[in-house]
Amino acid sequence: MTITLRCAAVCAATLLVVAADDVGARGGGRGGGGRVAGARVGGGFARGGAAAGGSFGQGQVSGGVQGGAYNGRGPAASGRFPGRSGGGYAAAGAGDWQAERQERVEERREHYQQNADTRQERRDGAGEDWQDYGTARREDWQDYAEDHYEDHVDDVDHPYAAAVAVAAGAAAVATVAAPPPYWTVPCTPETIVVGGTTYYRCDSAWYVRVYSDGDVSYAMTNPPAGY
Amino acid sequence: MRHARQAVLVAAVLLATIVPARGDDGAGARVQAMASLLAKAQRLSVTIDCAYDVLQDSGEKIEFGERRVVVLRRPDRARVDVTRRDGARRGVVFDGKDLAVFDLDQKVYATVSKPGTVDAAFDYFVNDLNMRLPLRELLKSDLPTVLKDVVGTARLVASERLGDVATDHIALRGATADMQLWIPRDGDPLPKRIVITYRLAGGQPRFEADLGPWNLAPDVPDSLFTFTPAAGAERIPVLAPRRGKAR
Repeated sequence: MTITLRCAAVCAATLLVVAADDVGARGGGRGGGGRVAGARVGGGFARGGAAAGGSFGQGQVSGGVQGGAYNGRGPAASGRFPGRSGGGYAAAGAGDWQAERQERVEERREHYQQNADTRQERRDGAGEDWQDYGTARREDWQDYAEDHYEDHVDDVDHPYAAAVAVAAGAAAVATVAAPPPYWTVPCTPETIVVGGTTYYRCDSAWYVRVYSDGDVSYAMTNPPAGY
Repeated sequence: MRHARQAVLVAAVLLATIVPARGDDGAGARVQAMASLLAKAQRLSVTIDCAYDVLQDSGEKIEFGERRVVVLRRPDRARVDVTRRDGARRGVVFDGKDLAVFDLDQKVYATVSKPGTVDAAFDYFVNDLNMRLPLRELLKSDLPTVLKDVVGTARLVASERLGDVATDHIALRGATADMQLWIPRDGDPLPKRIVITYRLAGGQPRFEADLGPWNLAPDVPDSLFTFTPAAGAERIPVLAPRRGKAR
């Protein structure tokens, strides 16, 4: 055996010992990682942590208890697999989307408030023509719908109008800038069935049910014919 | 000096052949075996009990859940029936031509034409229509490819028992979420439990699923995939986000 090979054998043996020590220090191997209540040990998985105690917690939350129904939608509801890049849940994008949806809620509220104000002004005006108002309101809806929705996919004979289908031409699928924000209608609505479609009316606002974001929700629409 | 350098080089070569790479505990191979089996299955059915956290505006993290009964007949038939914990029943059916989604309690349904494979139809359902289909990746025929980016991160946590089943508990890390799998040590490597933690999302919510029993040879007649609206159900449209366009 040459000097080189002898040296190599010694070096390898030394490094093997070091490697074995390292494995031992990491708790290595199956089931070796971590102490129950301690910090993470080397490369193993820690078993301690806030949730491991299973405590009910103490004290009372400040700010009281939230009323109303709990939201059932969020990133974990998707159950999407993680990915190294792309795929999975994109936190930033979802945050933007949520913000956009909230913004649209505010836009619509303002839109309706403007409509309500306009109507009140028209009622107050002695010589106003209600027919003109009705036409203007419908045109307002048309503009609003065309600004926010567009048609897509197949042309199916379905009687939706205005926000959902003025532009969509009664499609099975309509694409929108963001899903409608209404998981419930903002009142106890009057329900009217016209042509097989159920309309929900809250004051001057009309809604129909749609699938959006994985669930049944409500989208604004024009009043049905005759209303 | 020259001899010393040669010695270190030879030692390194010896070590490379003797000491397995750190983290090479077989977890990746277990995940790949699972993915390969699922991807090749021509038929399968499984019941999935799901639970997921939703962070409320108040900061509370609330858990919701549902049972999903999944039936797949490749390449172009699938059905998922869902019963939420609050009793609401809904589902989705694909017959090779149309996707039908229905809600039995709200008495509504929607149908969308999407001829082709289950893979393409469910991609469209989730990515374009923005509909919800948890663990839909498990049904993809390219599942090994879906997991290739994260399979290298697979590590064996421990050998654990879930009920009376001995499993390998495996952890994987993704760019935005972490996943844990429990794969039985004996028999087919079909996942018994999956936990996904969306660690970049507020509150780091978790999706959990207990899966089983699995059946890779279920009786799946065509009629199972034929959608018939419930009596009195109303057809409604699907609204999908308009992607890639300015408002």
